[in-house]
Amino acid sequence: MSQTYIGRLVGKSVGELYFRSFYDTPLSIGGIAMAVDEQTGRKFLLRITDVSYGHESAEANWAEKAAGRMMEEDIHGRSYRIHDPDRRLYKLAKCSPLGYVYNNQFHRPRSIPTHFSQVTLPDPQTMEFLKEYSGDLIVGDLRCGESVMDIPLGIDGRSLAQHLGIFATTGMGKSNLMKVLASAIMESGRYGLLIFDPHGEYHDGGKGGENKGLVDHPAASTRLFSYSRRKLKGEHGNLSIPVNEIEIEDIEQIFSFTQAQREALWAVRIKYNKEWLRKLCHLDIETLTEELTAGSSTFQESTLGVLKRRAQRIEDFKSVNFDSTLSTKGDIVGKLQNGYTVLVDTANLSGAEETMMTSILTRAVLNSYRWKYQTEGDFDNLAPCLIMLEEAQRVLAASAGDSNVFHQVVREGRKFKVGMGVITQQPKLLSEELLSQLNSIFILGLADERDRSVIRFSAKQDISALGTEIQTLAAGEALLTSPTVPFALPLKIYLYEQYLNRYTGEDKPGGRDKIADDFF
Amino acid sequence: MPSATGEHNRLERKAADQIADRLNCLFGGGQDNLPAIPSDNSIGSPHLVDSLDDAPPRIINSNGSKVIVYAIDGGSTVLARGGNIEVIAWRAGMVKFRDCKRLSESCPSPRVLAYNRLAVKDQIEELLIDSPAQYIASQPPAKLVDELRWLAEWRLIDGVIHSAEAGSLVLIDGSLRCNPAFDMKFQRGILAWAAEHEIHIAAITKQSSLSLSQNLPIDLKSDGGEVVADRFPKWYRQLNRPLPASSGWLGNIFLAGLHPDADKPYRVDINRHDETNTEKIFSMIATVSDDIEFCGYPYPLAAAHRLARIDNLFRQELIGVIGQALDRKNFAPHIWEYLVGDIHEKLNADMVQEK
Repeated sequence: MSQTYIGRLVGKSVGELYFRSFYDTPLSIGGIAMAVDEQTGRKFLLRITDVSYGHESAEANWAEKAAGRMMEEDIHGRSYRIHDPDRRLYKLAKCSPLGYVYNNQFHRPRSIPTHFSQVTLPDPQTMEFLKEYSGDLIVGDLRCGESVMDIPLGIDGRSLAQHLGIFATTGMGKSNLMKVLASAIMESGRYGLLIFDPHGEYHDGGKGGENKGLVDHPAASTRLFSYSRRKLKGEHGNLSIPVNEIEIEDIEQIFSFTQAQREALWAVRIKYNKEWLRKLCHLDIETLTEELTAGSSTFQESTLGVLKRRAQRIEDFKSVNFDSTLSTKGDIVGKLQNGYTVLVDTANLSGAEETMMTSILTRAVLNSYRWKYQTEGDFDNLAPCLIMLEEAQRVLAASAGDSNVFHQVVREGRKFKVGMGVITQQPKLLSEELLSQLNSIFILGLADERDRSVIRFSAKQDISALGTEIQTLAAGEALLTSPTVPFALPLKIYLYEQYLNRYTGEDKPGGRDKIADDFF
Repeated sequence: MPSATGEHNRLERKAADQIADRLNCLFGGGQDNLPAIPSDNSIGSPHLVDSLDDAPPRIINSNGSKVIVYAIDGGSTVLARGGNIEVIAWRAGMVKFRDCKRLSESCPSPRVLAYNRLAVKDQIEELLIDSPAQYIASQPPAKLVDELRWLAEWRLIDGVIHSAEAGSLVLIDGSLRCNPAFDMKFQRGILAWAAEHEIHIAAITKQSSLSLSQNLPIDLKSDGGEVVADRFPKWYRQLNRPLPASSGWLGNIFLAGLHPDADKPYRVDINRHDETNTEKIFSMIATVSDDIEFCGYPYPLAAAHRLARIDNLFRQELIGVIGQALDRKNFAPHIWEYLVGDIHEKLNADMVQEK
């Protein structure tokens, strides 16, 4: 009997199939099995969603009784065995039918295989059809339970502007996935990628030196541009934003304002135009009060005092300067539109400064793409752009309202080729509307049922039966849902360090062909 | 001039013969095993000891050897009975094990025979042609199906030992007591050949009818194992004294506790031609008697039993299949209904209760 033969179908409906397997066949949740309908030649693909014990004894509670006898024998140190286990014991796998393959074409499941169809492990030849859906940004291989098949998979870069989610708890491989995805984007040269890195882990792999960063990728020298206010390994730019490029919406991300304060802010903005923040910092309260008084309308000194103190705090931010020629904003936007990867390292910035910088740059990207969409004829030549946002719940939480620039990108960005990449450990904090806008979602291990639940409702495939699988995903294992894939794809994400080895010939993760030397 | 009653009996018998013949045309024979030369036979006494005190326990050292073990059991049933007609089914099955794994099994479909109970004696000579066993009973058997099942089992044993590897163990359900209805040469020949070729044969009786000094059956005696269990987790006692070569008791008779957690000791008969290997054979039996569900009973025999048995469900299925076949042959359906009617009532008893 073939090594790949694992059982026979025993039930039961189009939406839920069961097969009996041998007692010692390793079956794991998330594994893919194949039921071959001998009458039609259709190969039904089944995703294992649960595995349970079975035995042939007609005796009630046989297993419990047998276990009791074993325990008794154990206590007395007596030996015993289970004879004939192949016949008496078995496993029962509950499966969710994914569809069937016929003539190398995948079809949605609308029928069931014939009774007792033989169940095998899927053969690589049958799974070849997935290559049609693999996309051009390869991030891993097809995973069958705990094993991996040599079928590289990823996402279609054209869907980047339709937003992306990466959800996982700590240690499940978010950062690794991000680096592999960034590498794939760099290699393609067709898409812009803006990464905000608050933890300083993407450029050079972070502290400790154990992990490699994007700068270690052979394409980094020509396709990666990093900006920071600290010293990084290799070449990088100085992150710098002139004070006159900061808008009220940007500081609203970091401060809460009363209605009176907000009115005063806008009065300052209107009065001094681009110089509003500088004036707020350097004019004294009396002057400000006098200059802003219009008729009987005036602002209290205490209100302006609060605004002035906050403006001075912004002025102290490391990345904020008063020289309008030192802006990196234009550089960054230009590189993104030409298909480069831009890394903004904010590791040594305060939380407030980091949030404000993220807001300024995101708005700049969106406005630039929007402006080109509305005014210029070369919009078609712009590279689609993805903005990756770590800890996205900080600015995209349902409780934070939906008026900031990040929400704007989610709502309007796809029209202007700007996508939002949402990375978070707590998708439950994001609004349902936002989640529904994410076309592609990488689900890594999520321990919290509430997190799993919100994803279930927003995913583009029915993953309602995959709760246990998501719960049991190991580090580096993922499910990818997207309208461009036939079903929620189980992936084993390449380990970034091994992924890089392909260029040295030491290892070729996923069996991908070595990229040609002249690729870059 | 025959009496009216005699004529009536003659006609009834003739009708029964005709029905049986017609039925057997459908079953494709099945009579070739029927025995013929009637004669009486007594197998004499098994020469048992007077009490267990005279049968000291001996320890079984199971070495866990991975020998091949064959287990053989039979199954039989009466499918239909009405007037002088009886329809019976029987078969014998075998499973082959090694190191807890079932290597193979064989169990044919049941043989089915319809016969006229008044005519068995007249048919015996004809039916025994080609049989390896000579039927020597003077009277027709009370339960023909039991004899046919027994014969099927022993013919299977005969076949198994000729294909088994030297050193194998063949386990039989039942005993090695000869069947008084047949010439014991048949069994003796099998047992002698097996011993000569190092094929070990032992029979295990699920429930023994033997008793010591007219007491309880030997396997129910409370001192069969408990007293010795502490010192001898696995043990055997020989219950018979030396037997004459001509005895119909073809095996030495033992009582054995094959696992420390066994529910009860079992009667085990070991081929007398192979008695020098008694200790080794018990070791082999104990090695396959450690299944957690059947502690103290050889698992291969449990498997053979389940393989060969004809249980109620299967019997019902057979009755249905035969009924359909009869329909296709335009056999009067009311006759078959008459023959199986009482069984149907039993089978459907639960449905009546539900109403």
